[in-house]
Amino acid sequence: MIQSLFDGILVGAILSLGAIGLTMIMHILRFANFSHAELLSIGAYSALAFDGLLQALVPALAQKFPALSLTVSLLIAIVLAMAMTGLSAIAIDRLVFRRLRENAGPLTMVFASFGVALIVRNVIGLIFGLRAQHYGSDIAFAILVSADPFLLIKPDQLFVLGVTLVLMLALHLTLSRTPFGFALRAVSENPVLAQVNGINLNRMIRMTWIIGGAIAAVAGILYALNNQLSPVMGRDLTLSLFAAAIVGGIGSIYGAVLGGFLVGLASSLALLVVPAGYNPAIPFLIILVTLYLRPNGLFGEAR
Amino acid sequence: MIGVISYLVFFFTIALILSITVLGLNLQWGYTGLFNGGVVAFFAAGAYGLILLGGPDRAGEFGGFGLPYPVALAGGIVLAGLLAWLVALASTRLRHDYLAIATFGVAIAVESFARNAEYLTGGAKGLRGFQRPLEALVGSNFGYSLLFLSIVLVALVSVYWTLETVVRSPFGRLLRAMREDEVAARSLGKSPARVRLQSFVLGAMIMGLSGGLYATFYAFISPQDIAPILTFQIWAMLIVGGSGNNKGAILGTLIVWGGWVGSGWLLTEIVPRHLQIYAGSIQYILIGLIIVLTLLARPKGLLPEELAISKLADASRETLDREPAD
Amino acid sequence: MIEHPANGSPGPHLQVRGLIAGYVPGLPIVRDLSVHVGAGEIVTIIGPNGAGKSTLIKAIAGLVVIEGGEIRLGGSDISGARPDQLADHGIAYVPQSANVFQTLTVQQNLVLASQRLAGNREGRVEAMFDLFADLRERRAIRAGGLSGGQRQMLAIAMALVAEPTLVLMDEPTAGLSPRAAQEVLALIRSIAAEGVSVLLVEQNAKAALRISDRAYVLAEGRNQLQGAAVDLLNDPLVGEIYLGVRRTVPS
Repeated sequence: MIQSLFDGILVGAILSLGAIGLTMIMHILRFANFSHAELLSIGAYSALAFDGLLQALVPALAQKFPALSLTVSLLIAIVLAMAMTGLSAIAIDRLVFRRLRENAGPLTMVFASFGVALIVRNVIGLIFGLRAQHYGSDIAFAILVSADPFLLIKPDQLFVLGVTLVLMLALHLTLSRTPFGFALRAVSENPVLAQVNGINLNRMIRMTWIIGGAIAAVAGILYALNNQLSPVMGRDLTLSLFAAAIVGGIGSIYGAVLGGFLVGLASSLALLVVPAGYNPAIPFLIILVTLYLRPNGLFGEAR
Repeated sequence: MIGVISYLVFFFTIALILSITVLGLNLQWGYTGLFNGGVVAFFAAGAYGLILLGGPDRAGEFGGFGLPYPVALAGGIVLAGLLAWLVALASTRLRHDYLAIATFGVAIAVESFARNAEYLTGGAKGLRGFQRPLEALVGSNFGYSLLFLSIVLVALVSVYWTLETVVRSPFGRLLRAMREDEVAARSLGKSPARVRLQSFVLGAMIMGLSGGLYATFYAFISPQDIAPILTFQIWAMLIVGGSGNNKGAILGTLIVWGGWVGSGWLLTEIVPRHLQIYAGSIQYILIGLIIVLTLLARPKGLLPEELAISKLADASRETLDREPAD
Repeated sequence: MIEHPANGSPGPHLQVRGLIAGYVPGLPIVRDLSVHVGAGEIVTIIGPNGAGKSTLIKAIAGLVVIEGGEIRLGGSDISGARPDQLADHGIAYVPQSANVFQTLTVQQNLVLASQRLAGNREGRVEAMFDLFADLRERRAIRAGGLSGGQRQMLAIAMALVAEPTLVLMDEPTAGLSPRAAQEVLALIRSIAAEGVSVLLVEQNAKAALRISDRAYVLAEGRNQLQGAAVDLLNDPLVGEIYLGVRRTVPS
């Protein structure tokens, strides 16, 4: 049971980070972005590429941190991947979504996002191959914290939780202390009033894509660390990310965080009663129940 | 010669079965502006429903009631309708993209269920042994495939005719009125959410019919047949043909299905053996490109009705729809 | 985009000529309006519902579709500019409702509004707190928790913090107690005394006319009457148009 809780929190942390960008874009641009989860893939695979590149250029970077399978090169690669993914998100918006929202409605963007997801996912498969991969070739070891109740933890998982915490703290401080954070919240609450107060909406939309993309990159990398890299990781995560955003309330970053943990815990605990094969259906049930009982989620959508 | 004709009969049978699904989608999207992100779920409901109700007894497992074909087919259609009702009831009152998410989710849930609930669905091995209607009457395989093609044609024509009638009926006028001005329609006492729900369920039932015919043709259904890619193929067929237009829907089906089969054959020929596993990825990218490029090329043509609704409804709320130039 | 005039002749600070504007292209609410506001002037717009008063203000603020006519600020053509561009050029707009960010604190609202200033942002925020003691007391409270009057004060403070040259107000005293309304009107007078142009729309016509220099009476999206506020205050025709007894001025 306690193992399930721990695993659930771990999955939840990853979903939380992934859902932040999704909920922001869904709220500001009014469309469900079915290609958001591919940003996690782009992040994870960029990190893989940068990691390999760095190790090839500077072999000393292959030094691992104590007890972790994380190398110095991977740490640097994470930062590079965040930038890469943020830029990819803007590029996709500029190529596809922006033109559509100027000429057509939000549903057309939803539609296009399906197409974008298909393309990104399969291009990744063509470039990196279809098999599952990992960042390092060594097997990450685990620590038996307790035998009864059973609790097995990998130090890598503590790293995942640590990074999540740091990132969320940084985001929280930005939102609550910096004028830029106020601007983000202002645009989320009332975009017209925000413009009236001097905020350039297009610039804020770009920033939302960058931040959402960068955070999604970290989520993807953490997911790959906790599980594996695979071209279909985006496809497998999409429904859970939507569930997290909907449960939390579209537009609420704190809601997305809470929603992520709730969905993660629910999926993990469900494994105790239901065969693992049904796991993909759990987020759907969560969404359906939420839509029936409390469609605005925990923290509601203002508009 | 017989081989080519035989192949063409096979090709057209599948294409026309799929075009029935596309017509159902056209009702949902083209006429009502509803985004169905999980078309395959309702197709699957019809297929599995048919086989479970009309198939032979299965040892120790659910189903195999051996009901007469029309009853079993109707059962599959009703099952598709129920599934649609469950999903749409939750979402049609809300943001339009909630339906997209919910339908996307139901497709995943249905596939997961089909793959795992062995007692009910036969699990990964699927349901086989279905007795195709009238098969005993016809001697040759080729003869039966011709008969079945004509059955499909009858079904297609019936659906087409039904939809054309619906469009000209009071319900159809209500759909059009809702597209023009949802606020005014609401003031007439018509609930847009309920109308959307009805339209969605009807469209899903048509998809169920298509799924039933598909399962009949193969006398078999399994989770492999209800993979997510089918949803994208159906969407591509709709947009290539031009949505809102029933004739275009059928034409689009033939074009896209021909393209899919053709590209599959082409890739098998030109891609080196050791890279064959990537052929699927290339096809998926092609479908994705068709969707994205068609939308970029003529976004207005895709859903002009939606533009009218959002402009009028949101004008006084001054939302983001009016995007300023940079 | 904001186009600057060839010559440097000063005219009225805000000049609107022949404006045609509305929310949906092809359905103008403002059919042909011309108004102007000089530096330091208070100009009030009054008229019956549907006359286009709010739409006029929103058109100047860059929030509705302009189909014809021109709007000039300090000589430069500003029609078609984005709201945030206009804010950068010294226009402040106080909407009738939803005019503060309820999820941000009073302080955060003001800090946000002050960002468009090039410098001395903190100084200006503090200056607003000097002006509005009530807001200073509540600087850490979410704007959503303020009373109606306090929210209105915050909205006005947000408009003033960035040292605007033109302030547009849509029904600034709506929903306020008589005392709070008086405070707001007195505030408007002191703003104008510093040289800021004020254009306001007011339901409470009499109170607004008493503090204004000039006024325009609108109906059906067009000019009907205009003149010195004190003259209009005493003109019976104004009452008739305003109350809807008459729709247009007799020729």
